[in-house]
Amino acid sequence: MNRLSRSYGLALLAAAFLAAAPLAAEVTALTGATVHPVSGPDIPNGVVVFDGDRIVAVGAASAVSIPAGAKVISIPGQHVYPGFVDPTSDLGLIEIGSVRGPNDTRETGNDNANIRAEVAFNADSLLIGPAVAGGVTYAHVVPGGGIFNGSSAVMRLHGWNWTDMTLRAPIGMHLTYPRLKRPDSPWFRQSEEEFAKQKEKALKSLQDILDAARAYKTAREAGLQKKAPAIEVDPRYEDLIPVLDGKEPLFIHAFEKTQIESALDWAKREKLTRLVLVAGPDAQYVARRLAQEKVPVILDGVLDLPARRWEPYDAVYAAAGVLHRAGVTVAIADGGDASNARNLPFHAAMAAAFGLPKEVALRSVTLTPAEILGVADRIGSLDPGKEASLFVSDGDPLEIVTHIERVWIAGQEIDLTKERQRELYERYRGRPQPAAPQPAAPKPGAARPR
Amino acid sequence: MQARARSAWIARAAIGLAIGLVAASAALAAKPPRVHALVGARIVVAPGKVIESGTVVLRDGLIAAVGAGVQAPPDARIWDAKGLTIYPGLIEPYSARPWPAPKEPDKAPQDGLPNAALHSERDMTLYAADEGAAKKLREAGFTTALVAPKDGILRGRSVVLELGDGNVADNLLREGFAQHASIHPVARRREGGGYPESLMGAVALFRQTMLDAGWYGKAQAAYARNPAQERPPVEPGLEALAGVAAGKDLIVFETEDVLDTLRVAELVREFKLHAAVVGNGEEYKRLEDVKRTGLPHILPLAFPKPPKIDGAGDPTTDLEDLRYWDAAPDNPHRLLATGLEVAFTSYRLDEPKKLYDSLAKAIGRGLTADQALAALTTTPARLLGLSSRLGTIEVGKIADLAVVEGDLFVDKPKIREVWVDGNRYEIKESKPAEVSAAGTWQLTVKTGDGQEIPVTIEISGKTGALSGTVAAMDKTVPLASAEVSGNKLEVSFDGTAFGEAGTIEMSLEISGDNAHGAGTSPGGGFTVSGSRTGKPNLEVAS
Amino acid sequence: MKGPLRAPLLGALLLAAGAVAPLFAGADFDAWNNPQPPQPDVLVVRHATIWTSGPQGKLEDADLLVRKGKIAAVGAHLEVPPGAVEIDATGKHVTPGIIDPHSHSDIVGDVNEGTNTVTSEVRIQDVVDSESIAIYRELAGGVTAVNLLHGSANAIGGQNAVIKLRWGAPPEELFLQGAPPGIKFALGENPKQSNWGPDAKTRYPQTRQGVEQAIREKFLAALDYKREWDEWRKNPRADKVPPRRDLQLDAIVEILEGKRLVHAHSYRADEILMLMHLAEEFGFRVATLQHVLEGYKVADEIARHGAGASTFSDWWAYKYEVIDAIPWNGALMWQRGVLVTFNSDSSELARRLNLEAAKAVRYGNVPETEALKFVTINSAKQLHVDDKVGSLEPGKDADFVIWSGSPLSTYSLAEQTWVDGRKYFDRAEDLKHRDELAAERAALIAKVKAAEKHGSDGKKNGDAKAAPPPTKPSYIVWESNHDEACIFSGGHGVEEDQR
Repeated sequence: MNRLSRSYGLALLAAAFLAAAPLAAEVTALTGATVHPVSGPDIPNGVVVFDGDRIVAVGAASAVSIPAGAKVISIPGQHVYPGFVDPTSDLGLIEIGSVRGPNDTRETGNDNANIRAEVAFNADSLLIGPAVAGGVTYAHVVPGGGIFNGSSAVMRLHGWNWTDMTLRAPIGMHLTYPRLKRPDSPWFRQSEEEFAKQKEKALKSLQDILDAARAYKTAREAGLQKKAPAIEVDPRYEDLIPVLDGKEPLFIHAFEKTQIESALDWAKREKLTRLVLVAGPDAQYVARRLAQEKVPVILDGVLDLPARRWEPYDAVYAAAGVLHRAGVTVAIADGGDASNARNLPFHAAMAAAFGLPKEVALRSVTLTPAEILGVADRIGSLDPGKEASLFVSDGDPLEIVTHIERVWIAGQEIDLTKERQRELYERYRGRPQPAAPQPAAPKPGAARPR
Repeated sequence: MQARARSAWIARAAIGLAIGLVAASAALAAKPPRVHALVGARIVVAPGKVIESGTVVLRDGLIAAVGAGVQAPPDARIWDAKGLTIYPGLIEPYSARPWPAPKEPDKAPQDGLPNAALHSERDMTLYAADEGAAKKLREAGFTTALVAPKDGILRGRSVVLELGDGNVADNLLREGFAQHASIHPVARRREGGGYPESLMGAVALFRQTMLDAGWYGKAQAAYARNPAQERPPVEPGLEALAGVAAGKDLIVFETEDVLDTLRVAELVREFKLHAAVVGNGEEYKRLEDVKRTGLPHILPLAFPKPPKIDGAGDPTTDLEDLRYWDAAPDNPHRLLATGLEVAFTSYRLDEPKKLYDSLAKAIGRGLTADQALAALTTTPARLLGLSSRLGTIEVGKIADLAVVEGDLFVDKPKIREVWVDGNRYEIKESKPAEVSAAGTWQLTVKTGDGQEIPVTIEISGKTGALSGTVAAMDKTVPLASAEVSGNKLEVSFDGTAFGEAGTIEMSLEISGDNAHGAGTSPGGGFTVSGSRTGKPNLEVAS
Repeated sequence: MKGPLRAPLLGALLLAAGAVAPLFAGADFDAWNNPQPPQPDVLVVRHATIWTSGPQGKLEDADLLVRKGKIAAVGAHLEVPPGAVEIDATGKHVTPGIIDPHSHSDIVGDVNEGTNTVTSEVRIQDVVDSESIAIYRELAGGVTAVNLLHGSANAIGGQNAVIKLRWGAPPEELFLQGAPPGIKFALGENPKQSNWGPDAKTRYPQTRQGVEQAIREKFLAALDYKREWDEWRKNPRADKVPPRRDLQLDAIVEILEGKRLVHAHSYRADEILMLMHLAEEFGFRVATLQHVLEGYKVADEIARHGAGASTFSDWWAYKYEVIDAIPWNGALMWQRGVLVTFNSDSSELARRLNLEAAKAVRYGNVPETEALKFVTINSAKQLHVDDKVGSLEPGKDADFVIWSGSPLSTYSLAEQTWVDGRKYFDRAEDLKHRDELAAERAALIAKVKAAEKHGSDGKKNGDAKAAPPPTKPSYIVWESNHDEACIFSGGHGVEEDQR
């Protein structure tokens, strides 16, 4: 079964589960707070009403009527925001960085076009709780490994398992463009010649895979139309067909300036026009071209060091602002550390400190990712019809000193006290203090008996 | 330049045939007269001291006379040096050679100190001779060189020798001259290295070893006084460091960057060492701090290549590399301006000849030719403790000269010959090979008085590694050297078997399978011509 | 004169020009190309919100008076003599310079001597990298002093170096004079080589218990060594072989005598307790526990022992031993009376320590002025240099930062950073310098092209390539967050975890 029918099937399955589950079809209304829809201006003394998993009303208190029987939560002085959308993440695919077992972030081999991120999404990953407690409600989970990495999914960060947590899949095909310059780093072990050879091989491999996929597509279509004998389905090429047809966006991962330029050239030659660039700060050096060719950019992290010693100290901090001013659509991601996806808003904040307008910064981790990922009809802002995934904070969530007080995902409130790290804190906070004043540590020279 | 003494090769050969067999063993003792006069040259006696036209007389390896009005002694061989400039032979204050690997790695001799990076007791004397390296230095005008061991943090002791042919004993000027060191880790753990693998580990090891060296003498003395105690270990490696630890023996540190120099200076201060450094080209970056170290410098002039330009306005073009490329040729004159003792070295260049390209650049930035000459003659002479014997063309000093057509300090000087210990070494200009010389050549040698001698030369091998034989008068002798330069084949061989008391050289111009040219022998010059009559089976074309 | 000489010469000319010399800040990326900035005799910063991290607390609309590099007074409407340099800081915030208690940013070569389990003879002070661009970038983040530590590859690592970020000065001028010496210990997965790969299974120790024994054995050896030398000094004789000085044991003796501060990288509660017990057995106090991510579980024990705790705000999940790390660690330990600091262990994070302090407000509601102390006076106390730095109090060094807004706000920038009453970072100067760098790049590129045309740098003439100097910094600064080589790998390349 091809990918499109697969995703429909999944949706049907999920819908069945959702329908069957005894969801409290409860209406909730948040009142008294400043509401920040992101899709529109802030609403002081605003109201957000959600029914089941959907937002049904957003507006000023005077303009919104709260249905009878609604659970009204009055939160004066607080703020309501749409939940953060992390536009590139490993959440669910990894636990402890040094342990291989739970690490499903990178497959081996060059052509992994048939890999699907969501099937390995661990709904009970230890890393999800802290992210949700930090207001992250959706993550675009992206597979890695190889040149063609596979297809990604936007996951809702609350649910029973990946089948009901997949908001939409496939979001797009991912391609990691080969490095063109040998990094001059002590960790990089290949020599110049070895690197040059490997680079040539990788570029050739990329071309070979795509050419083979085209040939496969031709043969496959001919077979399906009975114009030629049917060929065996090869998922690695089959799953590239929507990209070749322009039906699915191609996410190109490229970090260094010449790598980005070369990738864009290559995509143009191959007539692949539905592109998203997942890049580092070097994208700012290609800003004009990215704006002209209307390629949106997911900036993978802002809290990072400049790559070159002579670059301005804020080269990475300022990149999003440079791209934005050039007219590029920019989403900001968490830099690859799933364990601290909760710090996603602080990447956006740093970009704001160095030139990205504040409201654009907020949008870059909410609505803009949703738009780039093609799920803005469902998430990313507080608008009727969208999923009720939002949080209440005591201030600007891009400020670290702000507290996230309450979080809802698809209308379900998350019990933050049950978050594992929070539980450890409460447990040890409750450890009985020593009764009497403690004796000071023994003076030097006083040995204890063993 | 042509010798003017005459004798016919054939006449000599005839006599040679008769007495050749008898004199075969005596031929080893044959010593041509060692009195030479180089006449009519421009003589640079010392930096800033020039004789526009004069004569240098060499006798038995020493300078016997030098001056404008000097007459050649009656027993001298005269060399016409008009149009040429004579400089003191250049002195290379630093070259380093890897310690030979043991033939049986499992049975490697145990070095003196327990750490694999410490070899302080190694002595370069037996391994210093390297004809190929000597030849390359001579081609660049050098006549003397220090040869130090490479490998390790403490490397062993260097020698200073003349760059003549022959064995070390004949060329040795100073044995056990200095201890050599490089405070850097040798190999990483993952490459099979042991402690230390970090730079700070290398420093710690050096400091501990210096402390141990200081302790060693006291320990051995105490044990000698009173053997009724636990015997301290006998460590030749520490013995070898006694003079260094006492601040008497010189220790020379190789540095890789300017912080290295400052780090070495700290260690020199801490242990009160008598030290010098091999510089790194970055001294200009912290010049005041380098000046304050007071350390004599042996300065490499290996300037970086210009960086690749990605595109004129490319913000990612390496500004660091651009700066370093631009600043590097300023380093020599700036370092000299601090007043530190600075000698130049060809170390770190691909080959010694390339020094002149760097010198030309440095001179373009403010270095003077006299400063360059001093840094290559009088200063290294002083550093090596040989000022009384080398560095200038003065009576009583060793006859080490470099003879140049024109000026020495241009980017491609025409160095014609060098004299080492009063022996002449002609320098052939070599060009890339344009022809293949392999095969069998039937040639006819025509001497000055009309005699014709058939000669067969066999050449085999790849260009750059040619070998062969020369056969004449029913005798076959291997070629001492065979090189192709441009379209010329240059060979040389020992002429003793043919009755000549020395080397015979031939230069043949090759076109297709024809060859013609000329040659010299101790007995006189000759022309030669002929053709290639056979190609070897496995000819590897050049 | 052009090129690299221009800056120092210009600086010298400016200095020679007299008292009204501009407060030139060295904004060049080549440390050596920056002159030391001048030190005004009298300097006053006016009308700022001043976070003293001292007994005066946080003052609104206040002035900071500096004389010859030392803080003279902090308060409202301070009187100054004529000729003083005045900075109008209306609307700005001023804090003490930030002190990073755990840094590897400025070290030449390996951060670890990873071959042996005990390497107390190696010293960071021998390999301080004055040319590291991290110094400048950290100044741009408000940091004025750092504790440079050996890595965590060994149970007993090397000696530390506490430096001030005097950008442009050579190594010997960076040391914070009077800082007591310290040394690095490491417990847990790193010294037992758990994550070093399949070939790293033979070096002792391979267990936490072995780590304790490796340390204990050295302590006992050091006591023997000390005894040997004490006896020798009482009666040195020319006919007795003297004891050999051992640099490794020298350092251990200093620990046992309380003269060398132990900074112990540790995570798990059990190993934290182990080390404190061991220290008490041998009669000294652990100066600080570093990272100490399970410190919250044994906070009372840490407080009783008297060790400081220097932790991450919220890093976790990179190794198994940090699985129970929580972002409330700092706050909880602080609540129980432990002297807490936040550190970076990263050239990237070091630039944002002010924001790390803010995490103590988010996780645990530590009051803002107390939270800031986690990166100022508390660091100074842990390093025993609080008599000189760490707070804005009269008599201390004039190490301070002028921020565009609250130091705990993500939108604030450091605008100026002063060390010893000299301005080492100024954002306005930095921005101007970028134009100069662009012009320089263009000029040099033109030069290269001209040289290539005239053949003086063509291949034929064979410019030999110099042996690349190792302190020539990397084309790519390979440390980012705590995943080395992350920038261009597009993924995670943890070669050797040093955390």
